[in-house]
Amino acid sequence: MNNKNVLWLIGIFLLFSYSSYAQKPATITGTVTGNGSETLPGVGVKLKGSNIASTTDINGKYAIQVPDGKGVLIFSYIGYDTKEITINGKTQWNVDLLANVNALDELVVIGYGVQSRTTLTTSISKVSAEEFKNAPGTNPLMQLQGKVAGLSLQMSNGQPGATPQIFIRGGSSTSPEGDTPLIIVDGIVGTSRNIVDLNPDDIESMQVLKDAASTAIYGARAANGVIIVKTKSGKSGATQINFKVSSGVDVQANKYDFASAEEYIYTSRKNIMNYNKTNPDFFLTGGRYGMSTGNPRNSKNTLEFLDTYIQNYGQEYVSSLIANEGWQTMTDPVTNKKLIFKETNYQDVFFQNALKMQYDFNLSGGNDKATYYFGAGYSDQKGIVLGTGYKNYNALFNGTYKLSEKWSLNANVAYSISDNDSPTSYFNSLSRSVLMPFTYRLNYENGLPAPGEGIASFRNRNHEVYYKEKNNDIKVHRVTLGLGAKWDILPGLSFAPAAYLNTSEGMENRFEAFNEIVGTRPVSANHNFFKKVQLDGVLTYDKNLTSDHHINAILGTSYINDYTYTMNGSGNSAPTDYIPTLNATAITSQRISTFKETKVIDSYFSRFTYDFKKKYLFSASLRYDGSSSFAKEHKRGLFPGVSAGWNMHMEDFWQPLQAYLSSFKLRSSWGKTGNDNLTIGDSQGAYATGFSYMGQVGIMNTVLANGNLKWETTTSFDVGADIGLFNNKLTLVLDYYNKLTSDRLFAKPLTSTTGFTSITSNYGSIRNEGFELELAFNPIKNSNFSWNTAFNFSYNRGLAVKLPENGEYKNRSGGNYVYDPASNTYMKVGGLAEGEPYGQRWAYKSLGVYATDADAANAPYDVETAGRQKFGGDAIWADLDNNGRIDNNDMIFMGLIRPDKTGGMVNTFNYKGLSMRLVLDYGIGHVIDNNFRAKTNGSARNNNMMLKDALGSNVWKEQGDIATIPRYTVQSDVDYNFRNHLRFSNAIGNDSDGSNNSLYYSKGDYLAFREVSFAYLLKPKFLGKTFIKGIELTAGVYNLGYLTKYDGLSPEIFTGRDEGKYPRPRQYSFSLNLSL
Amino acid sequence: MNTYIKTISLIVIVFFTSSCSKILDVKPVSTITSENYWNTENDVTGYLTGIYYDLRSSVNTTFYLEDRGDTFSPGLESGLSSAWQQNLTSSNAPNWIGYYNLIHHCNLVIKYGNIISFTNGNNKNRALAEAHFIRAFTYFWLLRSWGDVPIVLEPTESDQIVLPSRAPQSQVMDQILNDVNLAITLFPESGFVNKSRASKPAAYALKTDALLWKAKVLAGGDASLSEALVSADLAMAGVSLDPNFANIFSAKNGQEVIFSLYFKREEMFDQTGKKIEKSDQYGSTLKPRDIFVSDATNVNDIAFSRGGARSAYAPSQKFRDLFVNTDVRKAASFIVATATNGSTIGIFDNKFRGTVYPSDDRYWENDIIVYRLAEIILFKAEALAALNRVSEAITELNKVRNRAKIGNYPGVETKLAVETEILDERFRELYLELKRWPDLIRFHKAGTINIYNEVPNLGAKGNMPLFFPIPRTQIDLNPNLTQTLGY
Repeated sequence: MNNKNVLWLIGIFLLFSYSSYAQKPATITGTVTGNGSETLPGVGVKLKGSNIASTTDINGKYAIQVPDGKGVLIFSYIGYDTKEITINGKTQWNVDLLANVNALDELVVIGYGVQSRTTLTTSISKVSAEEFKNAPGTNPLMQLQGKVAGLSLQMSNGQPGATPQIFIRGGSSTSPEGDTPLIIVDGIVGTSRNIVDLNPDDIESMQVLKDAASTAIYGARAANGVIIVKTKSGKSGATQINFKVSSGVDVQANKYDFASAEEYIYTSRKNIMNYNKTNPDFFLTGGRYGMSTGNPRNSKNTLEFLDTYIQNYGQEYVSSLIANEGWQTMTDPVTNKKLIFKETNYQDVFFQNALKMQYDFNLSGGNDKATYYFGAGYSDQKGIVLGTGYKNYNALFNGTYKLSEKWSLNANVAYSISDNDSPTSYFNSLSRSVLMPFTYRLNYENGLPAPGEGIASFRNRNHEVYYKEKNNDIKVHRVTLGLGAKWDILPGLSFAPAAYLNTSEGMENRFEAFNEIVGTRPVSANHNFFKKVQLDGVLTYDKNLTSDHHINAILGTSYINDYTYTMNGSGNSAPTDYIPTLNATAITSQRISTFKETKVIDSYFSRFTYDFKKKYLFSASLRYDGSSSFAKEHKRGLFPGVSAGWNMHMEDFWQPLQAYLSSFKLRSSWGKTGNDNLTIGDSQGAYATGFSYMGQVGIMNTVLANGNLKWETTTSFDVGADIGLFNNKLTLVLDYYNKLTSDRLFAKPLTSTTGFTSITSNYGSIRNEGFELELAFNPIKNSNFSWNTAFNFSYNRGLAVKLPENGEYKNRSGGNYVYDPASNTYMKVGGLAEGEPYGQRWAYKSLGVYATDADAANAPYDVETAGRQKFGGDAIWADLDNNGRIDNNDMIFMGLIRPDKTGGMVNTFNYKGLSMRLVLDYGIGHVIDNNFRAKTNGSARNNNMMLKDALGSNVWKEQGDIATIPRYTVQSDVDYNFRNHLRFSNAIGNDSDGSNNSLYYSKGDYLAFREVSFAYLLKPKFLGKTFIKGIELTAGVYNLGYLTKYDGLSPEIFTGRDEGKYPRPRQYSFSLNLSL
Repeated sequence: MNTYIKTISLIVIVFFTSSCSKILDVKPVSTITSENYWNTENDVTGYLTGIYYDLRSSVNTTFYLEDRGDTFSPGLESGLSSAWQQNLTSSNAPNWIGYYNLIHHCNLVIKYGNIISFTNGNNKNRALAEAHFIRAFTYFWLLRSWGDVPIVLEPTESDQIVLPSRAPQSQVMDQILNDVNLAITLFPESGFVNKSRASKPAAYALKTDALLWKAKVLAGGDASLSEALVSADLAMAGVSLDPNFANIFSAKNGQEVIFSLYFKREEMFDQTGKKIEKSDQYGSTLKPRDIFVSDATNVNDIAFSRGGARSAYAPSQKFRDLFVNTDVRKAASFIVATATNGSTIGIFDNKFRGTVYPSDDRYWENDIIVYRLAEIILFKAEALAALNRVSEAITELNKVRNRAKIGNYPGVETKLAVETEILDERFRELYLELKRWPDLIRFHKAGTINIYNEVPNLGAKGNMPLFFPIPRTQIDLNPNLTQTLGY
């Protein structure tokens, strides 16, 4: 088409317009409001059947010229029901639009495009800005919990800003790390690195692509699903300014029920006296443990005989301790002498009420030529663990600029700095500092922190923070630059090239000041630099061939280069605490190491979408991916996706049903995606350095090469229906899926004489099969009150389908033998076997406690305790095979570690300007080993604080007691071969650090009360003529609690073992949002 | 219209066909793959350094060669192994994978070292000699622990795996002697370059050790004994007895040491979080944590540490009773921590005392002494006694006794009495040097003692086999493997 043609067309157009301009014109004006409250700027007002259109201004006012003063006006606004008004001679029409909650025709972002859900044939869930704008925490991914059917989210700790593990439809592997979906933020293809520090306030929407037909366009890395995140952009209209201040407090939601120091001293000393026949003095005296005496004034522990204190330090000193310092006295059950001690509740020392402040500012607007959105935020959130917290400064700019009729540019710039103070080791901090016996001293007499037990990893959190963690400086700087263009070549045909640069730079410096535990002043510094360069080019053709046939086709290419550079340095023995960096450390102690790696992905893709009258829908896509991680002959893979749908409600024959089933779409899809979760070493073998001997650096072959490695492929089939009832007041999205992951990239076990445990191979296949339901219901909707509810449910079952022939039944790999009473044989279980789910847990079956020594005399030989003689108070284990020997053959099946049924519910109530949200989610079907409780009840290491459990009637205390929990004492412990609580055996592929004891296993089923929040929008009328357009106040409580039978702090544990996790806090949050 | 067709064609050409397959050939920078290794002599020598690192880790345990013997009684903290408890089964059996990993590394060096040219032929021969030595040493370790073991002489380089069966002990012994003899031939110098690495004298020491095993356990007869005598003499070249017994362990590579493995405290961690040198020598499992001995009257004489020590074991009563008070080795071998009221808090090893770093902690960085002269002298005495050359055996025995200040052998000069004394002398001299369990087997098989009367836990079990079981799951992975006899 040349310019002449265009002019000619425009001419005809004008002629048309002129010819219809015949009758008396009128100007219609009015104000548009939404849900009877706030005015709506930017609402489209259009005269039906014409090109005459206008929009509302910032105050919601509009004016439109109607040529003959007659006709119908159409008011349309995204997120609201479209309304039609017949002019009828009136010139003033105030219109109220009702918010539209119909999920069946919303726009969703798909790979390299946008599509209306009406014509969508794949399985995509959308989470909109509403879920992010008042997020209580910093990592936006957390807001997905319970909102998307088929997405299960696991939080391994409550550290602010921490990244959850996300599984979509059960993932495709057996390792949580390998199951992370691909995350795409504003076009940049990557991992969770892209999103962790993104301000939730800047997010417009997240879409979760679940089936292979929708994800196949992302090919090689899309097997675990794709999450597409879109940040806010400006809209044409007046400038909008929002300023929001939020604050809140996080608290420890559930606490461990510890005994008091006095109860601890009494019970543990009494039990040592009663049960320990070999060396009780070792535990009772000498200051070795929390219950030992022999601690002089100002030593690490406080317990001592009162008379010793008085004799050595004088009555006056002792009286002052009791009167002014809170020291207590009690009678020793062993000697009947008076004891003196100071109680410190280390749970209270460890956890704090954590304050949060957050400021968000954004500015957006635009005109015909350009649009812009600028957001900036600062948040400072303390963690509930002493010394932890997260700070973040961020800024985001999204802009578009129309260069000409044919060319437009868009730019995306984002920057953030985060400062993350987290515990060096969660395990050490939680299971060791919280479990410190309450008799240990918190501070020395000079006010400085005492170390507690005082081995590097067994110390008081207070001490660790004071000397070590407060000196840590850990910052991550992230920069994103995106520049794209759109060239409208022909009507319907456009080309969009884009270039992205995304860097993330972690600067870490850790220093421990001189103290009695670590005297070397160790320093370590890390510089982790990551750079992504991505170049995309997408050619799009979108055309209504006739009014009935609509096609959309894309052809694209993408090149991604990921570059990693890390530098790690360490040193020690600085002469001073003043300099926390490496420059002060002893030269001879300094070590430095650097590392570089590049990974390239090169792709071509195309998609073709067709619909006939929006009734018959079809889509197909193909991606051709190459990855540098694979062996030479297997670098490239092809990933197709096909889907089709039928909007049955548009058929004539549907008319009689229309009143009830207002819409009904059937759809089905099939596709293939890949997983390239590999290092170059897996395909080409790795020789690693660093094996030093006599100061020389050695090299060793650490990974076996497998030149035959190829893509892991997931083929998925999905069939679903989108159903609207009662004029779409109730919508249902149903899906059944069947995902088969074949040629799994998995560590194939090798026989030991190869020198290696495994080689990464394409190894067998697993199937994830499930059902999902998303329901949205809008039972009440009028100008004053509305209630929306969204509910989702998903069920997933993952089974190993095919494993390589290895001569074993079900081709099982790993595992061990247990006795099966039904068949009276030893069966091999555990590991991975055909037809079985993964994540199985097995444990010794606890049958209670021997009441007396006589009862215990004939106890079966217990392999775990080396056949030690059993006494009253020892655990009774089921000897399933009755062979007089308790070993791993006697273990029973406890359950699976991940829930198979998950989901959630979001309720929103609006009454005039007030709205309330209630969010719930649930997980059903998993078991948890309460390892923390086992460890504590077993008095593990003789030096753990005691839970109130040990005082209860279920614990064996003396000869003749009928009890369920074995005796509480050092001589019941995991150590010294007692093993009444914690058992070793990991022979079945169990968690080797677990309790492996049925007593401590329970079901993890839970219903979580995730959010109760209120928002109140002050009406403009109230504000009068101030420059403030609106004020919104919110208040909410998040992570309120659970309905569950699990007895630990949180049932959200999908790893099978609760060793004492950093729990998610309960969060109270308030905010004030001003719109200007 | 033509312009647009041209433009679109240009877009398609520029964006969609510009790349070539080379775009995916990313050369690894900081990692080495199999494709770009084994080119130069540095690849061989660097790899050999890695092998020593691995060897040190693999032998840094009392599990195989001490725990099953009578050296240990329970210490203050838990940690008694299934070996000490004589509680081994096919489900808790130790996996030999670490040793086969070491063998894989040696096999790589032997395979590629032979085809890579060196600027100096001696360096090539020495590298190959060391690899053959370590492979022999590792097979000897396997032989003494498991008896029949698979012989693997090729490195694993793909997922196409052969499934070997267990070769008879005699065949394993032949392989060991082949490798040792090859090492002896290849070592270019007769003495030491560095005692922390294998040498010709170390190879002779290993050969002597292996031949004695062959003679006594594998019915090698007098021929093996005579050969052992020759080999022992050659192993003694260039070393002499250290007049100060305790000094052997505190110093590094003193005058008596033939081959040791180097330990050094090192704070640095590499990329994968491994400490790049080692300071946690196995002796730390017989040492107290500070709190255990803080109120002992002799706390200043005791080697304790805040971290890294765990007194899982204590030297046994039987061992401690073997010493007369004049024996200089007594105080240098164990120490009793005494409370103010005179009671015993605990008994700890005193041989490997570690090093105190001021304002830090004590680190357990004593070398593992693999072979030293006193043992070779006792080997010689053992071979002589077995050949019924009793008086010559006593002459050798007395060399060790006199250094320990306990005078000449006072007992009767019968073969049995002298052999029994040599076993006891080895216990006193080489306690905690990973010798006791093989010694017991050797003297048991030769009829000097009944091992079931010597080791309390073993006696209680009656028919417990002397070799270790293999995990049942390993048999599942490789059906050609059979379980060790008796399990």
